[in-house]
Amino acid sequence: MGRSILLLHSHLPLVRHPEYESFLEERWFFEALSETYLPILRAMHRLRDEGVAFPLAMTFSSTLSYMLTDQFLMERYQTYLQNNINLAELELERTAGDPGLHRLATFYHQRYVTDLEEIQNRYKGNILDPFRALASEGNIEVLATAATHAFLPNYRNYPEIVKTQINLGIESHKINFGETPRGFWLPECGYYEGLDKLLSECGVQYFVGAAHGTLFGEPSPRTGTYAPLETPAGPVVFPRDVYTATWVWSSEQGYPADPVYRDFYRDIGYDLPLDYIRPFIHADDIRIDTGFKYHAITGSTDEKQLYDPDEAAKLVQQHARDFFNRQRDHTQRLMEVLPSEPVITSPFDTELFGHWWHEGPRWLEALFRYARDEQAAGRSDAFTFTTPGAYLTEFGPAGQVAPVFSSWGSRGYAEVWLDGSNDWIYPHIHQAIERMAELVHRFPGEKGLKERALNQAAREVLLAMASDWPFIMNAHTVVTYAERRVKEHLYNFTRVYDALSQRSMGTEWLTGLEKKHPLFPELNYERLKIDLVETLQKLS
Amino acid sequence: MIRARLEELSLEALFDLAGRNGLILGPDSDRSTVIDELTEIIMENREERERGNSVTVRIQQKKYALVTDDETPLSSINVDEFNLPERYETNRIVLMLRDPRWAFTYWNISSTKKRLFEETAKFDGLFLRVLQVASASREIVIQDSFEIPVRLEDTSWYIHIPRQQTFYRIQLVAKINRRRELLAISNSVRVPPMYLPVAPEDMTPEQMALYELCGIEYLEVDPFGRNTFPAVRE
Repeated sequence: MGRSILLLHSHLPLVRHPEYESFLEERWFFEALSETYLPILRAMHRLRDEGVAFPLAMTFSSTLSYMLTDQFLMERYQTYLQNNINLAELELERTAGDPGLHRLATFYHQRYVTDLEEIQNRYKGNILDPFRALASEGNIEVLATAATHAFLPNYRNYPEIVKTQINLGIESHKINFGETPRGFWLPECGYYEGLDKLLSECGVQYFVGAAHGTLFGEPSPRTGTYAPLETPAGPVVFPRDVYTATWVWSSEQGYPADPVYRDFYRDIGYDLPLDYIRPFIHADDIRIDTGFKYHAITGSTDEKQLYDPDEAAKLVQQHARDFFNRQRDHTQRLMEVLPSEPVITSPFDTELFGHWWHEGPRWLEALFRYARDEQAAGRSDAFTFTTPGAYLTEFGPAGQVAPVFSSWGSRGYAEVWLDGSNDWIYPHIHQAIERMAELVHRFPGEKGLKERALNQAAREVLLAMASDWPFIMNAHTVVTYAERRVKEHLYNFTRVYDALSQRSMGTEWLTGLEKKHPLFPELNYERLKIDLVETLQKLS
Repeated sequence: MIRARLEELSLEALFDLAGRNGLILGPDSDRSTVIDELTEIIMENREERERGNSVTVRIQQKKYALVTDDETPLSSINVDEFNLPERYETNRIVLMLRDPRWAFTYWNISSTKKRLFEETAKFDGLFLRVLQVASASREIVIQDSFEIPVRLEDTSWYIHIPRQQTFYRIQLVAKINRRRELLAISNSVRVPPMYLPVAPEDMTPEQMALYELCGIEYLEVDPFGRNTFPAVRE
């Protein structure tokens, strides 16, 4: 029997700015909630309530998990929703004479009203709990990931710090989901030789790797990318399938590119007159996405057609059937050449569903309904969905491989996180890691204010390591913000480092920083201990 | 959309944006010419970046998209308030592998040492000595090497890696009075293979069928080629 594993990786960096009345980049999180996480939850609840199985694997990074339960951000999210409801009410008036537009304005009004109602009354400002409940009921399987989503190959000179990233991620998962995770999501599928040993030492049973990391490995597996394999140190790698995933991932050939679906770019924040839209865009009249998008992709033209939700809903059903049938057919072909039954592992960024591909959550729901129908009709005996943990429990790995350095980023390695746009960060972050280790060595077992300062210094080093900052610099998107974040974390760390050397620590400043970056409240700075002598010997 | 956004900017902001995009404009360039040229270059840059990105990266970028025109300055965040030091007071060199063809190296020279070089007439330059070594062991067995001259003010370099499935280290060396002074030596990196272990012409029909089913045309890397193995010269 062929099996398919769908994995949704959920992550955003910690973005919370209590020092500002409002902060633009916090919208990353708010948009993700309204467009991805709440719609996916609704889809999952409908499936659960109707008894439809949806064996999905998911990850929630520590930073996103924190934000999903953070009272401060949830209050700001409610303000964001109220603001969007205000805009929707204006839009209902403005579009009253145009039935096509009015219908879409009504949709957005209902969406934001429902979001607000659910946040306040159903979820009480905590969006992680419902996912935890789905996991504990056995509907989904949740994996851990690195503490601050560091791209681990760029820190391979510091194995203790890589282990700290892994262990803290696992501990955060235990707190959030109440159980020890079996699987670990490597940020950006970033793997390097020897990482399997560190994962094994942290108790990780499996991870997902880039396709070429396995295919170019030793020995190149007879199962290609279609079976989990045991690495030399023990953890099992599920190679990512690039063949079937392209149908969903590709913004050119994939389902999300269909002209009928809603267009991501066209937004009333750009279309409507400034005087009208001004209260809902950024200061200084800088136009931004408002989330109100009325047009279909249509094609490569600026003359977009109005979005038709009914047409899109029909297409979602068709595309869900198509994906299921194509995966099933693919497993049939694979069974003719593979020595074992194929496993198709398809990891996605969760925000692909909803934020990028508006209809994505409905597509996921339709996919599992179709799988249920096919099963019930006896047409799917040879193909089923499962999760990595469930598969391993039943079958175990199909062979061995020593994977090689790889990632799922552009050009397959570290280029996205290490190029001319972002390479300047590494000398500073590496220096901070070593200085932090020096502080651990100089100030063992500290208590009181000094301990608080050291703990915060450790947090700042970890936050500087997030893969998001070099990613954004490479993408040329909000570069100023990404640069600021790296510099700010390093500055905060250095301020503690200098203060401890000079025996002068500002309590007020420290308290403010603890409130601003409160991740890992139980973190003890001694977790960032490294063998400085050995590290420096390796590096010199 | 880009044009509409640009139309709203002041001429000063347009010139600033043009400068940051590498556009050379005459002082008498009129507003509409600046907007035309900026629109063109912004579109070209965006399309080029999109073409070069994997599907995963393209989708992830959308998570951080708040404005359609990424090049438009968004806010007045002051980055300068968190200035970082230009260098640290150590003599060291670090090697990071970017992919099987390229590595990134960065180094520090202490200010004392740097000043000494600057003030010594006999200082004849710095170079990186790229060593292909037999293993990651601290005991260095050099199999091959080449040199890259760098300037005293340089602090990093991208190095083309000639061979795969072997190890590399870098030495930072100063030339003084025809003498060579080793300032620092880096960590080692192992370079992985960059192709499938078997070339297309050597594949069995079963292997070819398997790789096709794996969707090798969608890989982010070129899977076919001959892996270059370590040369041993010294």
